[in-house]
Amino acid sequence: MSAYFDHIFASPIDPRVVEAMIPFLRGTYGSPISQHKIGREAAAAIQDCRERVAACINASPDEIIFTSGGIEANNLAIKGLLTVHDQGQLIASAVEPLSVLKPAESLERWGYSTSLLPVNGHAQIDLLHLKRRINKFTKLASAAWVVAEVGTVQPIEEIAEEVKSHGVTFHCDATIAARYFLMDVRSLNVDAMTLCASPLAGPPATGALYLRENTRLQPLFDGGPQEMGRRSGKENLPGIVGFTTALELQVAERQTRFKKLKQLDKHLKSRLLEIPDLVIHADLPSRVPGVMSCRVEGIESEALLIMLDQAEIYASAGSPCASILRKASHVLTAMGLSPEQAASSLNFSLSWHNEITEIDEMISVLKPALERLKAMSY
Amino acid sequence: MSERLIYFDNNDTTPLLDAVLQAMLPYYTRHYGNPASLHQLGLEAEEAVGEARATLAGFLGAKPEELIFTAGATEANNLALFGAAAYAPEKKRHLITSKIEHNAVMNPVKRLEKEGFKVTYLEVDGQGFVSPDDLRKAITPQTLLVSIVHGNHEIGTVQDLKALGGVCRERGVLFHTDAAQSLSKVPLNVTDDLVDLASINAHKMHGPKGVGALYVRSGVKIRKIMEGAPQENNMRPGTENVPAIIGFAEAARIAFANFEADTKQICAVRDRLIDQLLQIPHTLLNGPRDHRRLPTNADITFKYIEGEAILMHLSMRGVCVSSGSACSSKSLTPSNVLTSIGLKHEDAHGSIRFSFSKLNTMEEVDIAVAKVREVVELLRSMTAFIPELHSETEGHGGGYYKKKKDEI
Repeated sequence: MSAYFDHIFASPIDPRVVEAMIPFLRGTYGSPISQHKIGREAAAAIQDCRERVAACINASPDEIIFTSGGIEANNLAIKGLLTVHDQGQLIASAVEPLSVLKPAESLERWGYSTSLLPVNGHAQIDLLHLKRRINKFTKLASAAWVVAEVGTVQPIEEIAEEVKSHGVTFHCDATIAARYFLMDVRSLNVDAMTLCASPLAGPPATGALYLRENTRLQPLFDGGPQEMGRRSGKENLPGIVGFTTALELQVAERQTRFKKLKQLDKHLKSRLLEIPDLVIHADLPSRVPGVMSCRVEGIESEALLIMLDQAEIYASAGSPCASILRKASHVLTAMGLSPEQAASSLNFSLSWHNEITEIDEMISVLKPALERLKAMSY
Repeated sequence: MSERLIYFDNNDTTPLLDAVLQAMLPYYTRHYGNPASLHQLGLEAEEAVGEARATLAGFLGAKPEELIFTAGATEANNLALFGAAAYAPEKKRHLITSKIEHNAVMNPVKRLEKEGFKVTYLEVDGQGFVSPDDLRKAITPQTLLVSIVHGNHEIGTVQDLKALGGVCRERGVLFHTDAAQSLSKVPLNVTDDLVDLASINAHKMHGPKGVGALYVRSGVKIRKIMEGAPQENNMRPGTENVPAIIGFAEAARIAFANFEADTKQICAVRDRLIDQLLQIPHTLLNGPRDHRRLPTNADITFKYIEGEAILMHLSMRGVCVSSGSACSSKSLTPSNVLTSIGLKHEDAHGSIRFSFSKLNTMEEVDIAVAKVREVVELLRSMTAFIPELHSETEGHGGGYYKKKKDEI
């Protein structure tokens, strides 16, 4: 039996989503810009998706910009919203995704600056820090609603309120949060919000940026007039249809998915805590179920992962980004973990399709693996 | 009216082949790992992407590590231009391009011009060719990069990359080409053709939309335009679009396996259409009429009538074509490509692009030609100016048009 616990970084696509995509992979192949029949069909299909995505988050259709995923949407938001100003400061927390932090870093050579908010040991942003840092140079603030690796929920409404009270543009990365919460861009009071299909069992490399009406944006690419000039390039219509379907399914099934994840999370947590010395990171009552980071001090998580892998149990050590870089996760170090502690960390991200039995199977492999590793290290 | 549509807009985008779709589907549902993940599913995905990269690189004459996967050719063009410009030394802020580039090159170049780069827009001849001599003269010690489209999207002109690339290499400037239209249609070998940067995509050769690549010759330094995790050799962040990349390579494999036979068939279809349409009075072919034309492209001017009207009437009759390049067909300014080869505005407005794939047939050509004749006759019967009354020799309706307008 194999068990997959790496769902927020890549997830199998929901068969209903594939089914919705197939007619557009096979049939409607024109581009929405063309004026002939096939082109007009494509244009109608994309407009339909735009309306449906907008309805899912209480936006208007023209506020949706389809992108090649969450990474592009974050890049577009950070670069696009900051560079409409000649200069200015971005405020973001130290636990934001790299697709927020790295674009900010690259803008520094153009004279823009970034103020990084520290977080506490649970990866939470302290509003007091935000209040102190925000000033007349601040043009943009960005916060992920849910911190990807550890599942911490940020006080996003309070952050938005504080940011907006200074007349500053606010961007929120809702990539992970979309798996859990009702998304209403009006009541959240965000100017821009990143959505990504992948954690919603949608196709890879599709997503969108919600951008509030009349918000100025400098596009990342130039070319054609697609997406009202805000994102050039041939529309990936099958991908857009897949993203839209995945988002709608998420909205419709949100409560059942949440319930299932809660049940799985409870079981996973109690089974993990049977292991002596295992610590779950940022384990607040508000942590989103199904995203769990933990560590067993003194154990190399990479070695552990290989042993799990041999039993066809798939988890991860921090984000895949961190694993390519062979660097400690910036999220964990920002929370105050030492590089050694970060290197002994293990991530489990679950889908509503996982089963209790898969967790038990994983534990039955994990426990002896840990024993062996411990024995080797003495 | 339930007859099958005739799709002659393949320079815009092509239908996905079923074999390509079948190759992609398992990567949506079964092999869904993230190539960056260390576990087995991740490694499988990484291997599959690596294989696809090697396949595509092989067809281009490149090394696998010289390809960066992107979300399409537009992104690849932007990455090439902004990426190279970002590393431009203070004294190297001159760019050279042609007047017939696609907007995905033209618009980034214009943005760079606004940011202070000097830009030379090279003229083309009546068939759309850039002269290597003009290029040589335009290059100065300040020149950083030259970007010339390989196969033109509108009139099908295929540039002599080797000649242009040779001039660039000799003068030590970077050479970028937008090869979105030409890959798998005409020979392209980035090494032999002395290209430093080349943009390609999948959906113009029956592959999926949403995926493309930029070839970056090893040693050429460009800066990424998106940041995040270090995928694609730290040049393009974001989890790789595995199913689409698999589809990209599969589409290329199929296209190159049948390259000669397909090219022959597509050329036959194209030439039959050109021959028959040129028999209609007051028509002309834009672009070259030899091996230096994309097999997939025919661009015809129908004088005295509006391309837009032809397009609509043909669409009603089940024939899909394009007027102007797809990316500007919603605007009213005439195509910059057609005016650059010397067409008058009114003739540019009367131009239609017919573009083909291997899925098109001779029968479709015959049906389409009959419908084009019908539409052209209909529209010309409704127009206020009749060329026969025109005193000038055939070929230029402009003067008469003006006179008639004054009378009204």
